[in-house]
Formats: sequence, structure tokens, C-alpha cells
Amino acid sequence: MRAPASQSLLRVEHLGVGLRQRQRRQKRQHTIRAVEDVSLTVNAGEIVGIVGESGCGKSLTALSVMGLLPAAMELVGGSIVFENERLDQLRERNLNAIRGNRLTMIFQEPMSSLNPLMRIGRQLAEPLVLHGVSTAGAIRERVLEAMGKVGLRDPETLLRAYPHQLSGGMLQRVMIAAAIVCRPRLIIADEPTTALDVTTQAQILRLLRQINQTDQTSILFISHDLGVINQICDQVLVMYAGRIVERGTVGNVLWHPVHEYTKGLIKSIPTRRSKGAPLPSIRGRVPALAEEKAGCAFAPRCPAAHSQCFLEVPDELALSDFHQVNCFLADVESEMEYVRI
Amino acid sequence: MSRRWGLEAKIGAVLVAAVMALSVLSLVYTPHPVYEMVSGARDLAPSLTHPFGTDSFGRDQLSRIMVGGRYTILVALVTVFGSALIGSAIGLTIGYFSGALDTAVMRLVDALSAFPGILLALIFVAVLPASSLTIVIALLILFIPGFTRIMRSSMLTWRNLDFVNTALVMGAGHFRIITRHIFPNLLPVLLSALIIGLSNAILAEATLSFLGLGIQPPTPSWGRMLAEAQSHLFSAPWCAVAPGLMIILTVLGFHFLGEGIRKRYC
Repeated sequence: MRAPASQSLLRVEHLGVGLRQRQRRQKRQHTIRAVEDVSLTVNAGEIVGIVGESGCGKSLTALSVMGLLPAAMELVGGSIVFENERLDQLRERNLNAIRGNRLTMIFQEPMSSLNPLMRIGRQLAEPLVLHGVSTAGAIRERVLEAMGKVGLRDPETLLRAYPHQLSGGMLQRVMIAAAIVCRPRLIIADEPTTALDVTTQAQILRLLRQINQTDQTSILFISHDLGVINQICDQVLVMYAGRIVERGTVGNVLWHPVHEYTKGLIKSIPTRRSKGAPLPSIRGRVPALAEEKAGCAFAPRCPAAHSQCFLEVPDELALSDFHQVNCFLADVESEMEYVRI
Repeated sequence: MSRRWGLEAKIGAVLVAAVMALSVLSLVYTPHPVYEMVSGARDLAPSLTHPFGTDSFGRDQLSRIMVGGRYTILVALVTVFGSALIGSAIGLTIGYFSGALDTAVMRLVDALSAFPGILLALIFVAVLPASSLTIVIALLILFIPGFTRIMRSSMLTWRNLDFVNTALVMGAGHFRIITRHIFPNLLPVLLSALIIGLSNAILAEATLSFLGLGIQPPTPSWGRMLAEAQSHLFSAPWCAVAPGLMIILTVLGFHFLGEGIRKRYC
């Protein structure tokens, strides 16, 4: 476990993302929020995971850091600081100087994330060209170096290939190579292994871990797969309906969950021991964006909810320096034993 | 999308190449001087010396068709490429950024397209001072909406693809994304639109010249030749056949070629 005192690379505070309002008049009424009050810190050299069901705001959080929110969404508050710069206030041009250079992102679908008409070589060179590496020799050297790092063999042939000629796993390696070619400080990986088969998935995870260790590149890793998070992350944030419900080190959160939602997620992972038994699941469903949410968003599905849960939104409770939870049911005392493990 | 060039494309290519070759040849060689009027050789039927006959001024029809093709094709090329350039720039921009500007420009385009094309061209020809440039400008404005619409709709389908986000994540600016990342993918669409546009432009130019609003005499043009042949259609029908045939073959050629390209790539 790394000391949390190390310098923070990315600091997101009280981030809110809402549906863009068509008319001024509506603004007075409630804005539909997809992400609310999300704060997170990624320190240098750290892998931080965000986990949650589909539609809980994981990807929107990542996209708002990159300044890539879909047209229908907008930031409605909070701040995003990356290396002492307010990304949310930067102009497009200045943001472009950071994107692809010190901060970059990998997407879920490697097949569609590469331009079908550009040779691999050009796509790998693009970030370098955009960030001031201009001589052909230097570009080539850096591209080959990046390809070596991600384990792409036969680079000469690959450079001249088009995306449709490569497999999904190779394309994801190419995507990662394009991401690291400028030696970024932080990579945001939005479900980078979801579209891949299990063996390739393991290789890509190992590769990301390796990049993290050799280059001290931080990774913000988004996934709905707790197993993957457990394998790769140092810290983890659990999101539900646009809010963080539990956060801390992987050991604390995944092995000693306190929030009923986290517990439910972990219980619903099929294991060998539970073979034959019906798979436990969290009853109910994620509330729709427009639904009026009073109190804890998880309360309607929570097996232990009481009256307070339906009325107030729980504040963050620090169970220890390494484990925080937003739940009225959490008890500071119960946590103490885990921290020392 | 098919892997081979179809018969359509091949026929189109041959026709277009033949017409182009004739027109280019006229720069260095015509069977008879184009503007020479021979009073003794009026309304001659096709023969070996005059394969397409002569007109009522005693001018050789083949020579006039060759030179006329030059002007017709030049006008078509300039207007279509010009309008493709302007239309693409507008269409790509509004398609990429969408929003209020998109709506405003598209309504303007709708308004322009609501007029019958030839009427619109007539308005411009009437309003603008008469010169050889007038027809080019009129046709240019006539063809811009089509290209704007095609490029905008293609842009709408391409700009939401994941690789555009990849380019943004790499730090590419909007201009670079439009021109370097998205535009090359739209080339097949543009190419077939260009070629079909050429056949339309040739027709439009012929129509305007037929009405006496296009290329001015004595410069020969196919449309004008048709108009002149009209008055003695029964005494010298070959005068109408020659330019008519050329127009049909050229338009057909470009149309086949455009269709062939569309089937090959889109």
C-alpha cells in the first residue's frame, strides 16, 4: 500500500454532471444530475479503480476529466485539478496541449476506437506529431519504443497495417501504445478489457500493471468487474446512482465491505463454492436519471434501510484513513479490527 | 460494396475518356478551323470530310463539337469542384459542430433547394452582369446545397464514432479531426457525388446555353448548337443529332461512372 501523502496528480472535488437544460426556465427547477458530489484523488504511481453498475456515472466521471462529456451533458459544479491546472476551466486549445501528452484515455472498444483508414503507424505517430515531436526519426524511435513496451511483435509489418487486419487484443495493445507514446502521467482506462476475451483480458491487465510499475504512470481504471479491480487497483471507489458510496484501499473495500451495495456486488460474484445454489443478486434496479431521489439512493434496494435512509443523504464517514463509506448503518467501531489486518 | 469494378463503371470510364480525349484534342487539332464559315458548304449532310455535316453557316460540326466539349466540360469541372469545395466546407463544419448554426444553414439550404434548379440559375443569370463567368457562378450556387447536405449527413454518421474520441484524447483539435481524421473516410461518398454532379452540371450548362443564357456565340457550346439546329430540324437534322448525341453520351458516361464508384465503395 502506498502512502496517501504522496503528491496528488489528479484531484476531483465535488464534481457534478447534469443533463444540459434546453430552456433557461427549467434551470430554476431541479437539474437532472447524472453524477453528484464525486471527489477523488489519484496520486502519482497509483492505480485507482471506479466500480459500479451500468449507468452509475463511472464513465461520465472519466469523460468529464478528459473534457469529453457528450453534448447532452454538462459540468454543474466542482473542480478538476490535474498537475495544478484546473482542467474544467481550461480553454480547448490548452486542454489539447495536455490531452494525449500528460493525460490520456483508453476506451472500451478497440475495434472502433481506431480510424479505419489510417495505418497503425500513423495513428501511433499522431500524439507525437500533435505534441511537438516533428522529426521522422524521433517519431519512429518513440513509436517503436512504445510498441516494444506493449509487447507488439513484428513492428515493421504492423506499422503498415490497417486496423481491420488486427485482432481485438492486438488493437487494444495498439491503443495502449498510442496512449503511452507521449509518456503520460495519468491514463484513464474506461473498461479497457470488457470487449476482450478472458485470456486477452488477463494479458492486457498485466500489461497495464507493468506500465504502471515501470513508468510510474498512474491509472484511473473504470470497470464493472470487481475481480479485475481486485487484481489491478490500489484504491477503489464504489459508485451508485451518480454518487460514491464507499471508497478506500482494495483490501478494505473489497474484502471488508461496509456499504450494503458493495456487499451485494461482492455476494453476486459467482464462485465455485456456490455452484448449484441460486446466484444472489441485489433486488430492484438502478433508479432512472430523472427519478426524484430523496435520501440515500440505495435505500429502496437496501436490505437494512431504516427511516432515516429515505430522508437524508448520508455524509462520508471515515472508518479509517484507508476506508470511507457513505452510509448511516456504518459503525466506526466495527471497522477498527479490519484496519490492522 | 463490392470488390470489383462493375460493367457500369467500365462503360462510364470509356465514354468519359472518349469525350475528354476529343475535347483535349481540339486544343491542338480540329478537322476544320472552328470559326471558319464556308458559304459554299452550308447544311451539308455527313460525309467523309464532314463526319457530322455542316451547319447553316457552313461550319464543320465535328470541329464545333470538339471545341464546344472543351467549354462544356471546363464549365462543368469548375462549377462542380468549386461547389464541392464550398459545400463540403460548410457541410463538414455544420455537421461536426451541429447546434443552432447547423439548423440555420440547413434551413437556408432547404430554401435554396425548394426552387427548381433551372429557375434558380435563371434568376442568377438575369441578376448578375452578363459575362462568361456568370454561368459558372449561377451553377456554383445551384450545386452548393447538394454537396452541403451530403457532407453534413455523412459527417453526422461519422463524428460520433469512437475513433473521433480517440483523436480528441490524443490532443487533436477540431480542425485537424475534421480534415485529417474524418474527411478521408467521406471521400468515396464525395467522389460519387462529384461525378454525378458533373453529369448534372453538363446538363444544366447545356440547358442554359440552349436558352441562350450560357456560353455566348461565337464560342461553340452543345446547348447553343442544339438551339441553333432547332430552326432547321427538318432540312438539316444532323445539326441537332451531333450535339445531342454528345450530351447524352457524356451525361450517361459520368452517370455510369458515378454509380459504379458508388457501388464499389459505398
